[in-house]
Amino acid sequence: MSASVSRGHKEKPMKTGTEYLDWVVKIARSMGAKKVEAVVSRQSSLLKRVWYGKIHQNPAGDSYGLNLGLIKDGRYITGGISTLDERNTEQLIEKLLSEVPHMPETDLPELSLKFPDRFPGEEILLTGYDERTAALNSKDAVRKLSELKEYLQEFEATKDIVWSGKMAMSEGEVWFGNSNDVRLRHAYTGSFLNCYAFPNPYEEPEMSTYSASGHFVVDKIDVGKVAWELAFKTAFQKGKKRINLFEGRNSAEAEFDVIMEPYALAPIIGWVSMFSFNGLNYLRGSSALSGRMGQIVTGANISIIDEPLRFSPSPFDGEGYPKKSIALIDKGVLKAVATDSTIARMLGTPNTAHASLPTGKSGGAMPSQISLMVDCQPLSIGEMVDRCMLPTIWITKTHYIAMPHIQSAEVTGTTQHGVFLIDKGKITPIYNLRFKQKMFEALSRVETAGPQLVVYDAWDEGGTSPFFLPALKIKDFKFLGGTTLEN
Amino acid sequence: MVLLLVYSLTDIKGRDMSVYQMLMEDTLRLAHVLGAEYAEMRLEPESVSESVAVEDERPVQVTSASESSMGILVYKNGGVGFWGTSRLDKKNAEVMVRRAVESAEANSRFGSVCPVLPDTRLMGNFVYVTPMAKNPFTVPVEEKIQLLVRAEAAMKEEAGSKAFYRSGAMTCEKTQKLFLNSFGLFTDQTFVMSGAQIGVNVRKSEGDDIQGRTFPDGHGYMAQAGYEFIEERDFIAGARQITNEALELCFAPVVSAGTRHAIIMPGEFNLHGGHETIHGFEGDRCCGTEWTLAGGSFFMRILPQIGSFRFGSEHVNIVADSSIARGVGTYLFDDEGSPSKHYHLVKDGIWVGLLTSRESVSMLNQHIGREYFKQSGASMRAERASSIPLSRMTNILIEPGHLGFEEMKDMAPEGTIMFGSNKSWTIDDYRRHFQFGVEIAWEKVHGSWELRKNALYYGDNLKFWRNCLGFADEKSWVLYGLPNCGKGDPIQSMKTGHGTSPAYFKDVSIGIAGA
Repeated sequence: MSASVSRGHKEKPMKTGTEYLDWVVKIARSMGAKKVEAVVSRQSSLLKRVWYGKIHQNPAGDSYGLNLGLIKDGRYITGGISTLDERNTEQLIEKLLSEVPHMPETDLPELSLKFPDRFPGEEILLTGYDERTAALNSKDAVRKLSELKEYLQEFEATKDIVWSGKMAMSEGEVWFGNSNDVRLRHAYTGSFLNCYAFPNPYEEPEMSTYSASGHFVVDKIDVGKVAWELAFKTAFQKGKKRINLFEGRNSAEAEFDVIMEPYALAPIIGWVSMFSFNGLNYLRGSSALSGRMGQIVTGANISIIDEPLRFSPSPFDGEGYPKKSIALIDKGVLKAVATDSTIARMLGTPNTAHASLPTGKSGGAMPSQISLMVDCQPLSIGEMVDRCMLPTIWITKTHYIAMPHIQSAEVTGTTQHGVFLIDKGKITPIYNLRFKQKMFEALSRVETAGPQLVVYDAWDEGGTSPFFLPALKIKDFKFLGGTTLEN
Repeated sequence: MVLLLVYSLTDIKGRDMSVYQMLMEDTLRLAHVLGAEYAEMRLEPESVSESVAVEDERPVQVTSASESSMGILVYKNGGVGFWGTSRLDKKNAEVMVRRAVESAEANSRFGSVCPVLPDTRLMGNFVYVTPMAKNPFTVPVEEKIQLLVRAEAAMKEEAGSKAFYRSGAMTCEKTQKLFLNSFGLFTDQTFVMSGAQIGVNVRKSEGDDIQGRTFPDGHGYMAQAGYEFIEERDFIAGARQITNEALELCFAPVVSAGTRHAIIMPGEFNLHGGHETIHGFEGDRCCGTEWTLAGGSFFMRILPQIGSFRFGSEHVNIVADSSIARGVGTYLFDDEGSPSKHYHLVKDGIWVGLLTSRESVSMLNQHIGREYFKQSGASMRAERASSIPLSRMTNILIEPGHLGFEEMKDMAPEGTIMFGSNKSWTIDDYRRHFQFGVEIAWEKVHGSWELRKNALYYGDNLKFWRNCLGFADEKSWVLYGLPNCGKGDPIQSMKTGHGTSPAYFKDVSIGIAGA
């Protein structure tokens, strides 16, 4: 593993991340800052996007960052740069110190003083790192795509389909340091494969289904599982035309039971996490959970835990505090919201260590890796489908989530990439639907669930954090019309 | 538009830019030595930004940031390779070009979409600099903070403690972009952006419904201009206005659901009509290549009908223009070296154009079955030089109509809902089924406009545009800059310009947020 901030640069040797961090803290102190906290990052990544079986886009490269918070005369100011040389860094510090008198006096934020002994100073914190993945070899990425091509050939349903998707790999390091002599360093890798199958590309070019696998070890990408899941669903789409569930209906509003797969649930939970579990929103009264601490907010069969150390994350937050598991909802009862040190003090609760980077503090604090558990015997998707007694919508994925009413956590969005009606034992592909549902109410109507799946895409719009989610069977989910392709 | 045909060898800070030009030339040369048949390189020596944020009259953030980046795209053996980095030195440039060539080779072996060469006749040096009257970086931070503090103090004067969260933000950015390709096209473009926004959240008492309003626009209000753009707006008067509106909304009835006529103000329609709809006009979505990420377009399956398909009523005229003054999507060349353009996407309601690149022109013409597009629409843009360019909006201008705004309001029937600034937005991956929520709405009751809260509208976008009854005239036409349109993998943020006047529609489905 490289410890160098500027890998590959030999003409003018650059400092390692730790040396650079030490230098930043030292130079900022010498220029007049009383306290300093800094996060240095380096990431390299490559991606192969496939369209109809051919590589179409291939963004790749490396990036660096310094995110800095300074305290002078009891005032706090932040800034950042992406070119980590001495000139740029000194210019940034000089500018911040010249502007810090504009900031109000504050006793916040406090700097973390000590990290637990199990993570001493310079030791690298490896929660999810793999040497082979870190090599970011284009050939490894192409090999996985070729494997997928071969697997798809093995199933009757997918052997002659058109497919698109992507294979991504990333590796990087994060260093945290402050003027209390706290020094932390974390290295990580990530890899991800997804695939969209188009069973009728010429008659129904918009009909597709989806599967994915992500892991921090590229060799643990489960290509076989991806191909099998695609084959399972493609069989219900192949040679069929979708029906429009709202055709002929007088009202755009309707309720159906749903089976919502983890891929569909993840972006919705992401929004709930951002707005409802954010300690700052809770404090301001704009969260759907505001004022409900200790109260029942979901069904008694639901528990939501933030598990920040479970899968390839940074083990420390943006203030250098150690992350730990936190029960947000325990058997339906609200137990905690996410905080940084400032929000925790304002709430009068223990700090949950969810601080953003110094420049992002005004956005509040959010959980990093939500794990949703349902107190029931897990069922496979097939078993859940078999047990549907009423017409039920089976949703693979969701698109473009919004929260039109934050105070009630009402989310809306549309289904995509595999949506079916299960009715009297028959499975029929349908056009996409728009849902409009208050999510904590929906989580009070969960009937059963599948096993937890790691939903992880280091590059996707949901961000880098994985979710640990089961498929949920939810009663009376609300819909508001759907897509038509009539012109 | 400023076009200087003499290339300046210094940047805006007076540094010697020939260093970067030489680095680019050397890197391109190495790409060819390594077997690349074509290469184009972008380099951003330094992009700087300064942001100020104030909450409840206290500065919460004064942030300075700077970044540099470069990236190279190569064609080899029918494969395309790319690599980008934020370290601008010769050694790193060598690593970058080797990795890009290696990637092109690997992609070629797997099977790669055919690369398309640019117009080989386009060569020479071109320089563009944003015209501005007042450099926003020379305005003291204290002055910026005080403007926002005064606006927030005005909110408190109007609403007292009922205004429980007041916020304001101001941003200025300066980016220099250099581009060089194998055919000798060199461009040097410097962009300056300025923007500001204030917001207030009000409630009757703790635990009550929250009503939020923003000014001048909820999406950042940005222009390619200097600080004069900020000074032109009266933020204090705006603060008082939105606070009083938010207060009144706390006591206003919830909008009633149903199907009615609607007038949609620019603060909402620039997002719905000028932005979310127009994503469906992006060439990559229409080819299907974005189906697995950003989504597709309902045009995807009807491409041969371009030039005759009725998209909207005869009142609808939509233009893509990357040359309009102050547009955040204005430039001399896009990020693959195509010169800026002005063209219709919709003319008299008929779908006639798409946002294209040199790759999508070729792919689209195949789907259309004839050579409909002759050249790139110059809409390839990248967030930074280390990102790949994507098919993007430039400035999307919905042309004004002939009705005066007051005349439009007068002719609207009883029960018409007028929608103000945007609050929430979502649309499906065909760009058909949408839902937009707004901060404020009014209903026409006995000839006067009464406030309504928690309003949203939804429906099928094609039916919606065909129900357009007209646009207000140019007196109420407004150009906005959206600072943060997300697209791409990894996600890239882009500034897109949008102009419209109030728009008038029939048979709009109206719903209630949080009902």
